[in-house]
Amino acid sequence: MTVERGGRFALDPGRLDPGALAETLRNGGSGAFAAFEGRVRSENGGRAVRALEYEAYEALALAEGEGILAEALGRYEIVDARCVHRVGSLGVGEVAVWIGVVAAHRGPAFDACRFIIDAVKSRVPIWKKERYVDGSAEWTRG
Amino acid sequence: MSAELKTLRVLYFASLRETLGRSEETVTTRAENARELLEELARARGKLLGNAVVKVAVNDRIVPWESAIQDGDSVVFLTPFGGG
Repeated sequence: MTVERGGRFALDPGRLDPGALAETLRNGGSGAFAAFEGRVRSENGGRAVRALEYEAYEALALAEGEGILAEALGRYEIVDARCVHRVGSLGVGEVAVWIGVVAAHRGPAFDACRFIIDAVKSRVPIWKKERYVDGSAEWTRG
Repeated sequence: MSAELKTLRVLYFASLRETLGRSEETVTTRAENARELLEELARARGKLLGNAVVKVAVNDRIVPWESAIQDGDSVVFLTPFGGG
C-alpha cells in the first residue's frame, strides 16, 4: 500500500517498481522523461552494509515532499513530477527513492530531477538506520 | 510570573525514539516556546535530546525555536535527516 493522499509525493513500505511508477506521470506528448533512483549501497564509510531501515515522520514528510514537487513545477519548465520514498526495511540494491520528471525538453527534466533529490535529502523528515554485516547498526545521515 | 501550565504531546522518531524507549509522551509544562521545552526535557532526561536535535516541528510544521507553544500542541524534535 502506498501512503499518499492524491499527491505527487508518496511514502511506500513495499518494493518500488520504477516501470510502473513512470506510467503514472502525465505525459501529453512530452519529449523528455528523466528519472533518478537512489539505491541501497553495499558499503558506507568503509563499513559493509547488510540492510537498512527508513523511518518517516509521515505527516511532515508528505507535506514537505508535496511542497518540493510543487516548487519544482513552478521553478522549471516541466509537465509533471513524482517522487516516492521507501519506508521500512530494505536490502542492498533495492530502490530507496524514485523520482520521475516529464518535460518538453531534456534540460529542465534533468535539472528538476536534481533539484528534487537534493531537496528531498535535506528537507524531508526521513531517517536511515544502517545494519552492518558485522552485526552492528547505526542511525546515519543520508 | 511563570506562564500557564499546558499539556503537550511530544513525539519521538528514529534515534530519539530508541534512546528514550518510547515514541511519544504527554508532557505538562510551563515552557513558553519549543526551545524552553527542549531545555526542560533535556534536563529531565539527562543525556537525551541535547546536541542531537537540529529542528523542531509543532503541529506537523517546522517552526522557529522561539515560536510560542499552546496547550494541546504536538511537538516533534528532529535530528538530522537521512533520507534519499
